[in-house]
Amino acid sequence: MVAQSEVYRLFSDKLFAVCLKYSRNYQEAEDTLQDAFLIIFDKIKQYKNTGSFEGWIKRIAINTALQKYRHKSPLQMVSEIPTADEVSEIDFKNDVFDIDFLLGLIQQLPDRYRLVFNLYVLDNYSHKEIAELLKVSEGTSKSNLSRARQALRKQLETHQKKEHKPWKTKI
Amino acid sequence: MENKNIDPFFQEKLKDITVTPNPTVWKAIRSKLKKKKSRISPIIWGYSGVAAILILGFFLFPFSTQKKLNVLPENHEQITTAPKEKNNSLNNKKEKLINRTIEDAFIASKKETKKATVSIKNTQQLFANNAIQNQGLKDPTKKALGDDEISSEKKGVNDKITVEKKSKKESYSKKVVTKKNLVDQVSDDKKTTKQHTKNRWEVTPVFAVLTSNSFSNTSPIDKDLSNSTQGNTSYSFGVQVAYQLNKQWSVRSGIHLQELIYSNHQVAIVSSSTENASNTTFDNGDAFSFISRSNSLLNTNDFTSFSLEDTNGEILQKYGYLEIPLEVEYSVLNTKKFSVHMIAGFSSLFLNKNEIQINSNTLSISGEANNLNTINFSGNIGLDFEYAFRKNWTLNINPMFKTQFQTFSENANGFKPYFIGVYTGVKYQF
Repeated sequence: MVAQSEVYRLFSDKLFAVCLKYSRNYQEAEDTLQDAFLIIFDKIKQYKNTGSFEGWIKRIAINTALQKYRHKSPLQMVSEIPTADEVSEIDFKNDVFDIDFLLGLIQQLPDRYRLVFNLYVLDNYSHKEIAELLKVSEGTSKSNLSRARQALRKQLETHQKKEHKPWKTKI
Repeated sequence: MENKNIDPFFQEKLKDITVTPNPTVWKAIRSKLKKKKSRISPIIWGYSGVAAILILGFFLFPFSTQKKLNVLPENHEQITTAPKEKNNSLNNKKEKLINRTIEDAFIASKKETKKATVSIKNTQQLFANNAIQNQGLKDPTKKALGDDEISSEKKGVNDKITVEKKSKKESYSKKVVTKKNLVDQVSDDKKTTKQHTKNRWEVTPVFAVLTSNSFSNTSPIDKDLSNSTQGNTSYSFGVQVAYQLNKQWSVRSGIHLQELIYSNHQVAIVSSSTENASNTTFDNGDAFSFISRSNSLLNTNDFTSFSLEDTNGEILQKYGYLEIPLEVEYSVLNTKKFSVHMIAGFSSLFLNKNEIQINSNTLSISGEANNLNTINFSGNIGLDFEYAFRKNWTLNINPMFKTQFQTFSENANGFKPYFIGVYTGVKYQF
């Protein structure tokens, strides 16, 4: 238990951030974090010290999050028609957007948009890898990414128009 | 105004953030880990195994032998429980320390997050110090864990989240050594747990070469055969089943068929129709007495009232048992491939063969001893040398010394048999 608590102490903050990005809300992220650590402690002897330990446990956390959507609730149906706007460039003031707000935006995305966006943009998975993980076609992965970008850009633009000063979280 | 693609914007903002989870998450994980560990209580399994064997013994044994049966298992119980209790109390103390550390750490962490710009450095230093004190980890690289700086820290989702964007990654490489150690520790913990929960049962088909002998120079057949009884080589085979109580202690039982052989050579065989001087009964109803010629020069005049059958006969006594041992094993050496155990216990011996053969130039007759108890016991001690040649498969050589009690029902002329057996077999763990 000593070693487990030390591993948790060292990596829980990073993994919880991962879980928050892949989950719909805070509560779900907590559940995912708990499940991920139980799997990590169970499988830890399978870690061969060859790659980064942090990378290994992060992959477990991501897989745990994905697994929840595979088993508990089917991914939301989304259109698979690729959109024309793939550039997704945005003109905005960097300091208008707070991290909590951005996390909230990602959490509000439809499940598959959120997962694809996180996997591709934040965790550098290829469309091929995403297609295998989510059991969809590469085209679907690209389409979902495009739509996720569109949705996020729209939200950012709307928010920027409303706010002329840095966004603050309500306490 | 910046013109940016949405991807790098989100990457910059969210890629390396850290968020402190609620302390209840760790509490939930800890309780689930504890439940997992205590799912099978090893001591209960051990006691159940012993109890099952004892119950079987009580049904099979006559009531006159109950006293002896009750004594030995009690001793066994004391042996196996003592080290467990010690371990448990040590583990409890350790866990209390760790729990306190975690709780202190989380309280400290909570206080820290209230101050918007306070560095996490002190908290992590506290973690590192506590961990070193509790675990005895002297790794100086742990101090590097507190070097991260927080560039931003704000209250977040559901008023619980504190998001901290880390601007520096230089301490990452310093963490590697610590992480490896931790992985090894967790892996060791898992191994220990698994050793306690898996492969506890062992089954071993065994074969043994036995050499019988006696502490006295007498014969159970006839008092005049003193100094002439020799133990011969015989065999035993059967199956042993063992249950590992913990890393050191195991309890084992099984069932063996064994035969013990004693012989007397250069024996004068004297028949008598009126007196049965020896503890034997022969198939044809004849009675004989026996005199060892190695003790004295035979004088035929001594046998006026008897009929001297032969002066150079041979007696071969064979008796066999169904043996049910109950033994405890203590591991004195345990490496990956090789292990040594000390063994002590007792066996219940159920007589299933009783033969006496008289052979001489003029006589060949068979019968049986009439002073053998149908049930008797032996006290057993020995060593077990094991060599693991494959996963779950072990070759073992197990020299045992077994001394018998209550072997004879009537006067056996002080004959106190024992036997030494070298048991060998291939053990399978599951």
